Amino acid sequence: MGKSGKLTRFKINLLLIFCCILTVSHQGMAQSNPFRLKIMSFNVCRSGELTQYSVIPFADLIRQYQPDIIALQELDYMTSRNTGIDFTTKLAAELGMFPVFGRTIYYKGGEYGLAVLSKYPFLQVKTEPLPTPSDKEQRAVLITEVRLPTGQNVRFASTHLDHSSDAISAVMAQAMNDFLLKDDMPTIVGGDFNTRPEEGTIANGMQQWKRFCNDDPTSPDIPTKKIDYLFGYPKEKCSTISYQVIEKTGISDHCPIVAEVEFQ
Amino acid sequence: MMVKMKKINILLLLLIGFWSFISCGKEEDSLPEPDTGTNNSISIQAYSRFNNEKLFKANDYAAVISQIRSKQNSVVLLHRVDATISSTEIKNPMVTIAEETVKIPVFAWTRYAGAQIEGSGILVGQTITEMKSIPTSDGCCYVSVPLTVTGGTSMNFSSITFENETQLATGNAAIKANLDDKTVLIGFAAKSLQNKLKTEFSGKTYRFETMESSGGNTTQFLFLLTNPKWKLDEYKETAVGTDGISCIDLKIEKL
Repeated sequence: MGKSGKLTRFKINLLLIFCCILTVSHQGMAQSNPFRLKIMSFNVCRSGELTQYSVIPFADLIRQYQPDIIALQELDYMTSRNTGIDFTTKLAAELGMFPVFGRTIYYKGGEYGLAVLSKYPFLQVKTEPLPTPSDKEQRAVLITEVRLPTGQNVRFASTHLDHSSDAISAVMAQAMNDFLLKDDMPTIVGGDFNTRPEEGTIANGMQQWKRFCNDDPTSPDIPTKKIDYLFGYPKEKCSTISYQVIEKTGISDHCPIVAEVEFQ
Repeated sequence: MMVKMKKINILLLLLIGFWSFISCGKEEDSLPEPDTGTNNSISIQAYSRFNNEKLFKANDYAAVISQIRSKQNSVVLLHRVDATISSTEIKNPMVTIAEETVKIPVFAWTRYAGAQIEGSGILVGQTITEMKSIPTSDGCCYVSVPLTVTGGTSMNFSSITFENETQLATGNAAIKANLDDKTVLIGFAAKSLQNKLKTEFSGKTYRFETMESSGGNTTQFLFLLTNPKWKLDEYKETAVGTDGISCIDLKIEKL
């Protein structure tokens, strides 16, 4: 290679490095701009048992509230219980949203677990099992990273913790925190925590999080106890704009919860 | 009496045999057999216009749905199956097609362009536990999904699209950092980049195959990139519908 060839190559390399620096710094700037999201968490009660496993009533309800991202629990994938349908993809197709299903257990010839639906595409997806005693149902957290139109990424997770004791669900919450709280990326977790606000799982285990919801009960359909939650992180960089428990839907034994939230 | 009984028994056996034969035939007609495959052979279908235009110009996906349903496949790649988002509705053809063909959809995002969410769809016949997408430069993203396919073979199905030369350096670096024994990468690239990619992935470390559409007005080609533990057995192009969509059907094998 001649001297001028080497010089050209050097210039190209310099340009490439400059472009990389520009891209990274642009992403960094985008990440720091404030943004708002409408989020929902909804336990669909044994994959739509109360709607004869039809997704339509769920789609109709979700459409009314226009959430950007939804955490769902108790979904079947191709089980004999729900007539062999893929509940998550069917619901997503009704809404036009991007779906992801996370298996927690194999069940009745198919799978059972969690889902996230999003208006915006996923960059990362991973289902992480949570520590579960051998005589209890395996639990998990479905973690996604969503790319927003503003150029920012947000980590969004759905979970469903054990219902039998606060001690067990507290261990699960700790493991979930280890998966989710690893950097400063705006992070949201929604789900059926099966524990009340005063119990250790919430009061201590979720201390590092901003709670987007209040203490109003969320279960059953005419609610008497608070067990569904929406949390955000970093605590000091997020706030609740509005929050609502949607009661008496007639399609689940849980009330969907919906919040508009802001990240700084 | 005994002879009569014997004859009746034989007649009954023949009837049962004939009935079983007829009913088996009906089952085979109604559904394609699952892609159980032999010798670690895997079938992948890639749908594209080969010109980096979005796959669907209208909201008619029937021809693609019918083609997916009629063929055995482990993975279906829908190149540029963009979603459209507005304040009143979202159109997401990938999810509609997945629902109609009973597949799990995975979206490989490329970029936002106004109301369009550009990217490709990966449809698989199983739930996934993981997916990662690495934006490497503006409009270029490397995506990878671990799958278990025919005969329990592990495969990291991956994809990337190169539109121009400026995307090559960081895109190729992402490919090289992630390519292993399990990787099967189906990519699309501008025809002008073909020689550069061939040079980049030459040698004994890689197996690099290119395929072009025989249709007119195409500006892109498809490439298959693996390590030498995989090989391309055959591929065939089919025109899908009458609107310029092509399907390349690849049979690849884990050696």
